[in-house]
Amino acid sequence: MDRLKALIIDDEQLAREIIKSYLLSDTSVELIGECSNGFEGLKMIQTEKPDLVFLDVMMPKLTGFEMLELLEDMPIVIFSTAYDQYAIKAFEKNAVDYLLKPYAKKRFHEALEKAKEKAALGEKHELIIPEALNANTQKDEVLSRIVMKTGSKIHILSVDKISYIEAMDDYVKIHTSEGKFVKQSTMKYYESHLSAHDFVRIHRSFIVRVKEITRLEPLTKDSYVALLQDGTQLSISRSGYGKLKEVLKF
Amino acid sequence: MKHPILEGSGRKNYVLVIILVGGCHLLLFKFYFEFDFLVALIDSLIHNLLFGALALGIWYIVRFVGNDQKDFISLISAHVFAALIILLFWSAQSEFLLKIFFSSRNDYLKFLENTVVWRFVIGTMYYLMATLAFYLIRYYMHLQEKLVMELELKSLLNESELKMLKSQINPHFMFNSLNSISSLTISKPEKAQEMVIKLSDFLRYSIGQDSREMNSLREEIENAQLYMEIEKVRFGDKLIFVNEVTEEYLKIKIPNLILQPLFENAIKYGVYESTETVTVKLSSQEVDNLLHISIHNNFDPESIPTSGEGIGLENIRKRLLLVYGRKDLLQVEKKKDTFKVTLKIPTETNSNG
Repeated sequence: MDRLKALIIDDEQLAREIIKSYLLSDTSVELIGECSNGFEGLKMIQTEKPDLVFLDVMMPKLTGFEMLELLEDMPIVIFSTAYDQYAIKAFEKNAVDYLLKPYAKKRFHEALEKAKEKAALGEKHELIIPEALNANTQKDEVLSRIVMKTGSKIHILSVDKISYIEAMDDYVKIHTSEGKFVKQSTMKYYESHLSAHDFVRIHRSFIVRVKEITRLEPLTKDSYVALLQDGTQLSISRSGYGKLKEVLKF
Repeated sequence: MKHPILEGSGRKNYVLVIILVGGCHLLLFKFYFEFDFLVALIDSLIHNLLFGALALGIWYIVRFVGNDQKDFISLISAHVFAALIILLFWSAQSEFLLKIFFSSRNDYLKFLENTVVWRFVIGTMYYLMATLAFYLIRYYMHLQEKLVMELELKSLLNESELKMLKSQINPHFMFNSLNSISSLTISKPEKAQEMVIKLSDFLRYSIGQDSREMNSLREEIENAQLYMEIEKVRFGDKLIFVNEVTEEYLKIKIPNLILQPLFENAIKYGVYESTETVTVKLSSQEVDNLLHISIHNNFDPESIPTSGEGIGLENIRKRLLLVYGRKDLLQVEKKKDTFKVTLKIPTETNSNG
């Protein structure tokens, strides 16, 4: 069997070093590189195609979870982090393992063995991150940014710039002051992860920033249209009208 | 304190009392002195409504004169003076009005003249009753205000104490530091020992402190320095710490554990989010009896924090409010790529602190 190509992504040098020293005793793994943030990690994964990634969560530029969101070919992932709040149990079904810093050498090698088993099976590693585990969605917390890829460019969008989100089958189209972005996600996800104070789902197909609405106009007897600052017109469903009424208190 | 009848909720009760007293007055005149109903009614109305209106003014004496208890003489003289004016005005005005109403009723006019002294006596009684009532109301209002204030202060204290305890030692800071130590034990055991000692000193200072105590700026800076040195082991050259506080201020007392959260804030939004070198600078300056302690850091202007800002700073603002009773002692300046937080510590009262 070929040696397993491994990559370490962590913003702290000492955290990378301990993984390196743990790996020394295992000749079946070849360390191909180290990265200190999510951006570097993303590039390295795309160019070097490692089999296995040791990944920290909280890092500058891109968090570990955000970085994974942007990948098409998933390597085997072992998380290595001090944060335990991402509902580890649910997670373990998808990532190979989740190491809580600091961890013992024995624990590290258990995780490594699991990764080797998975690699030996040679199947494609579909890492599906449960939405509850996204780095930005710690308990009760709302999203403050969204990462997107347009072509080869990575865009980190502050949610403050979103004017409205439109449903498109398996994707959503995010309309912002910086342009439009398409992302594979669901309306339900954004409905529950954007501030309910600022955003309202006015229709099956639309989530709108309340402040963007300049006027509500009746369309038929019991349906309305929302007019946005840029002139866009969005239809409002009956339940959406009720929600708007609640938020705007009219 | 608001006027309990004019601005407060006592209006209804006041009208009820006037109706009750007026009703007794009417019955007395009708059945004891045997005047006809119209005379009894008008006499009662004029006397009681007029007194009711004048008595409202007594509140201002109750409210504003002699609050400091020592000034008993001025309090009594104010009341005697006010009582005289009210009674004189009251009897003269009601007599004047009644004479117009009943200019042809000689029996009544005679009665009116004969009872001047009695009306004065009754008026004095009314005055005393109204004054007593107002004092009771004032006492009650004082009590209520005090209770509300105490409750507010208590909740503020508990809340900030609780939050402080939570923010004192960030578990992620702890676990990441322990991970660094774990790594150092393999590569550089002496450094590992050094870091264990630093972390222990930092923990001792942070855990062993009562939240209400004050500490010297020197101790606070030493603790913050420990924190920064530990973070420097984690982040290496990415973090630079510069201390520019001058010697003369080091003895000044400041609320304990108030500096470290500011450094933690600088690290969280500066170092955690940036790939470039971040310089954290501590400086001091005295302006108008206030010691300005500033923590200044640069940050990546393109970073969008993954978590909300400001809760830590809000806690510090609250603590300063609790300790010094002022809201303007924390100043935050966010520019394009720099962040500066300034604590302002009053130096006047510091010598006994």
